[in-house]
Amino acid sequence: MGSSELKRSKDSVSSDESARRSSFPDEVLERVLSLLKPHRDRSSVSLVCKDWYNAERWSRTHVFIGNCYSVSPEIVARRFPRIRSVTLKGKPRFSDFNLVPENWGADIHSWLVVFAAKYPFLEELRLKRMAISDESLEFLAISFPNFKALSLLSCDGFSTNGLAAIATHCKNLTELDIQENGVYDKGGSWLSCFPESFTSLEVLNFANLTSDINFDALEKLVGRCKSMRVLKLNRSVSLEQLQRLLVNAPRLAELGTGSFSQELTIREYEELESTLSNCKIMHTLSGLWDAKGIYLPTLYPACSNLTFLNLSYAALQSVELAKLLAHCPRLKRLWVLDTVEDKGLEAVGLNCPLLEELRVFPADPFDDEIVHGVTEAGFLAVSFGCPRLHYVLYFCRQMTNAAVATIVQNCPDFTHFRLCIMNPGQPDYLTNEPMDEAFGAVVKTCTKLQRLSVSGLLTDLTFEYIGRYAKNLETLSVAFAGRSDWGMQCVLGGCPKLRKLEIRDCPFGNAALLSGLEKYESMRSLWMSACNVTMNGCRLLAREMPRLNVEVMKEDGSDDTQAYKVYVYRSIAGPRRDAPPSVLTL
Amino acid sequence: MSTPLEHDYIGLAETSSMERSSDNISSSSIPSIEDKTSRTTNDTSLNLKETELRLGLPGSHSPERKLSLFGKDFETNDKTGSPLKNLVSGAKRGFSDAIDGSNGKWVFSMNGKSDVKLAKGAVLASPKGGLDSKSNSQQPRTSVSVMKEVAGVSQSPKPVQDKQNLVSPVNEHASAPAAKAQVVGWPPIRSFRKNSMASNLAKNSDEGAGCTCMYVKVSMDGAPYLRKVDLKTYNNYMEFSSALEKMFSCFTIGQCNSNGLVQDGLSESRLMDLLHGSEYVLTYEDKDGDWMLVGDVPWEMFTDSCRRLRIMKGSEAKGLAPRAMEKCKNQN
Repeated sequence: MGSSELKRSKDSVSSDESARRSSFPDEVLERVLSLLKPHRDRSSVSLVCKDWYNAERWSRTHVFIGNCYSVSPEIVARRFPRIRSVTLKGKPRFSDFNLVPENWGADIHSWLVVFAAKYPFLEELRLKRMAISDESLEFLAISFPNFKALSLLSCDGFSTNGLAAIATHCKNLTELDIQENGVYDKGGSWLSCFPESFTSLEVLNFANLTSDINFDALEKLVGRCKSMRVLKLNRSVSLEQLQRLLVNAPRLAELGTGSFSQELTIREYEELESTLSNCKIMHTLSGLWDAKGIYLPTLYPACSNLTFLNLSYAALQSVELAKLLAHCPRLKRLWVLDTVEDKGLEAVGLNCPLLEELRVFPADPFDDEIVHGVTEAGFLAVSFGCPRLHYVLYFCRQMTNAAVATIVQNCPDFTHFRLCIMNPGQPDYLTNEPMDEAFGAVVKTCTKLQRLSVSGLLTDLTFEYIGRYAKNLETLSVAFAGRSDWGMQCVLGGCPKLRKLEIRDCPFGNAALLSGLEKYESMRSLWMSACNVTMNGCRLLAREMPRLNVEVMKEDGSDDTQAYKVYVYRSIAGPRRDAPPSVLTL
Repeated sequence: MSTPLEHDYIGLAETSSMERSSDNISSSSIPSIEDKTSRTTNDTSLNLKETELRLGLPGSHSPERKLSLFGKDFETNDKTGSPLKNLVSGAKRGFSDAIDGSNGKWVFSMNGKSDVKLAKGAVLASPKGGLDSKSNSQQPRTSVSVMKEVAGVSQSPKPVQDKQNLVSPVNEHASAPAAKAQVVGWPPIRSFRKNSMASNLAKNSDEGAGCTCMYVKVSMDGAPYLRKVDLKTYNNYMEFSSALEKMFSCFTIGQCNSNGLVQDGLSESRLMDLLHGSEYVLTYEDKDGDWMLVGDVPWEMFTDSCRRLRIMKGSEAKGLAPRAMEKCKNQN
């Protein structure tokens, strides 16, 4: 750094900032800040002073936008000129459960148009709950010559034709990750659109797709992409085909199998076993649709380094799970179906001392008469055996306050506690009391708690506890709970770090809604549906807080004075202009 | 792309509830789902109706049901609005597109490969559902409920009115406390997972039920273990006996590998000789528990009444053996 450059950079700083002039030239500051990755840290840095704000914005290459309507693409492009990677989230989370109208918005296209002009060297796009059409995918594919990574999670609006466009035009693609989207699957021919010369793919996840794929094209693609490290197949891929693919990709770190239940001859079984035993560096295993117990032993040799095992599409029994887990000593994350029952979870407690995350999904969520599944006993067993557990998602049909109290005593480090007692408003099945004390124990004991989902019969007391004790809580999901406005008021009055609050089917009304006036600007969003909020309450909120967007979703035939679904979020882009007729912006 | 579900359900009698459901699924491009509904009406029609009605009738629930959702502390509050109305409006576009597709491909179309390929060389084990038999009995109802919910979700608003026709039967059977309202978006599970489990259950209910496949045990005197065959995959005694021959030839000829499993490329003619000779006789246990000689009755009657099979040593089948030889010669 010559002294002349130093002088020049100092001159370029306006005199307004002379009070706090940084002693570093901008270039040095930018270089230092470019090493800073987490977007929250970057936000903090940008608030220090004007110099730092500028250095930060010039050095930022990845932008994370948690709510696509909180800001406009033009504003983003103006502030950050050198973006190469974008993460965007769109619809409210309850859209995953069909609570948001189909044409609600969150369309990516307007963003892509701006990006094409301002970020022609864009490399990565990660979208969650956005609407994306085939035309948009094609536009993306042809507008960004350096495009490398596309990840779509819980998006909708596109078909496999859009994927074909990506495959055809993105010559430098390293990642194509299609997860849990509403994809219109027109068939597997899109895979053959990758040209023969294309060899750069490292991550391929099409587990979401349902139709048969062109296996020949897939086999060739895997064969020529020597750097492939993540491969997640869909259900149509058979065991025999899996074996053929793995022969060409022994260095896979993450594998999602297809259907794990084809009838095999002895020779095929042994071949599969031998091929899988070469996959020693695998740390993530998923897929395993329709897994039959007799074939699971082929996996054993591949499990020694496994840290994440996703069995949530394999209806295993407890014994099968126990045998498999005995070979997974390093497991940190486990997703299972409740077909494994409490006995299977006991095996988890016994075999997985390093476990940090457990998700138990229901195999039969809609049948109340199912007697099996998991109970509080399974959860308890895991908590005794896995003291490092900090993330749990647990669907069950019965729970007790005492069990939860013991669980959090065993595992006080919970950061994410999502308990879903599937029958709405169900009390402690032993004492018949509300589940208030359970969640009270959670928030009192787990001081690091960031995310909480409550369920069961809950009075306002639960929310008093949450407001008073959950000092680090950022996301709260509430359904069929509470007694009066007081509950919601407690949460809005406490919980200093609250960012996302989603409520459905609770008796919270205008008083509760309006008690959070000051709070909502420090939050990303609030969702309230099937509560007691009225249009007048929403109008008042919108009037008092001009920097909030207050949107009400109308229902056909519903009472016009009731605000049936309300979505409130802070925005510097003003009210959105692409709302459908059923969404009113107040 | 074929829809492999269909072949299992051709020709099954429809019940009245099936007809009602076919009125309400107005799209003609989901035959496999209607067929599946008819298939699963082997349960009592009352249960099926309960199941149908639990599938989120938008805006059509009765106040009593509301109470059961929120517990006894809540009054029925009309102002709160109906959670069930969400059913159609919240649909993800992907599903309706999937139904509207001309080939009728449904989001969870299944693997085209048949699970049963017993006749093709030796196999490791007979296919069995991933869920145990206890849960199999629950599945037909559940599979209908989940799939129909998906079907309902994907439709445009028009069929919402159709579905409201189902309301009156709900009230007729409202005495059943288990008829809980199927609340939209509850339990909170993403659509992809819901659909995957639906087809999972559907697959297993195929194998668990008695109508579309019929697994029976086959034992052979002197063999170290039994086999299972699906009688439905054979059309006559010829196919059946040759399949059995392939399955069991190793035990008579003694050419098993160290695991005791059948190897490829065995000579099957030797077993035929043995069967046609006095050494072995094929018998079965019928519905009444009697041991009968295979081949006396027409094939369909045999498959209906056969509970299990035993390849008996000729010496034990005293008195039957000469007839067995004759029967075999007549058939072959």
